Amino acid sequence: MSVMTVLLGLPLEDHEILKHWTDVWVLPFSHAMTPEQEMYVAKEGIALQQYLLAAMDEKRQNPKEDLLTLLVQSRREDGSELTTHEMLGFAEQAVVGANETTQNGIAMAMQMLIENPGIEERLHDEPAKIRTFVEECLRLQSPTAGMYRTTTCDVEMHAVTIPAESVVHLRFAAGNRDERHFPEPGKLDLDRRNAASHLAFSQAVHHCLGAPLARLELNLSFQILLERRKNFRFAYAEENYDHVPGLALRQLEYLWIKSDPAEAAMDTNAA
Amino acid sequence: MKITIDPALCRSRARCYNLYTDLFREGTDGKGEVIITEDFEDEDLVVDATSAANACPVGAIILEY
Repeated sequence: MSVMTVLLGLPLEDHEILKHWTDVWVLPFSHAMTPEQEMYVAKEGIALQQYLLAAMDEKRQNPKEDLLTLLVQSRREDGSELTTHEMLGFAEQAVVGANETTQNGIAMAMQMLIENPGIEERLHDEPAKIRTFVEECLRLQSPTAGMYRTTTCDVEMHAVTIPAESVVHLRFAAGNRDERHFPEPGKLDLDRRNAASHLAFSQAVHHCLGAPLARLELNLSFQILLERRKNFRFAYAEENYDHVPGLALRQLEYLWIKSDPAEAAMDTNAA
Repeated sequence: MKITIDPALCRSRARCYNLYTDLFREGTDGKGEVIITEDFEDEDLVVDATSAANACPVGAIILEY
């Protein structure tokens, strides 16, 4: 969250309220909500929009080198400005997209590191494998497990015709376990050559705009974590993590872990 | 791995050479051009090339593993 707060050019001290708003923003993705909850989500959503509109006004008056300034100054090919609605859409997507999915991606990759024997040792020995590790975690845990799309024409798949203008739920997480594309799909394989060809960021024209940032954050997180700590393990005998119920997003409610300082390992080896 | 761009498919959206500057550069008419045309094994570049192929809006980047 702090990373996107800075990139957008918002005050860093606002990152906690932004985190709150993005947490609320994704609630409708996952839950069947009560009317009271729907009201709450709508009110908080408006508060986020008001905040972003004020921030965009500020950038118009005092342009800086940041994403929000770039957004308010951007023009179409014909020279016209984006509408307020369009600018808000971009700003909201940037704030929300950069928070929830990346945070869950890091947590679920940690869960994978702990649950797959031998992976941590190999990453300590060959830090260059962190890149494939990250891609395998994105493939197997896809923080955005599915998204809705509308068909623009009749589509035939597996002898079923989906008519034009149908709302379909594309299941990225299921495609990522297609054994025709990924042999032994359930295995976290640090030598999988096509690991990054997963659908965790969707594909082509709808490919995630923030994918390079998410990849950077995931890779840096594990480079630093593995430099500083070792022996990652669950904290308790059971119930170390649980998922937030939901369809579109895959989120951890909590994850309890323990680890040891990596320095101690080096001292022992030296002795 | 070997990368090629299908010039008939490329629509000059510039994603490949804006994101993965070690592998792609801007060619004629803003189209993508592959920098490393021979086979390579470097793991970082394999992940980058695969990510680029997935991100191309028109699927013009073709990879041979």
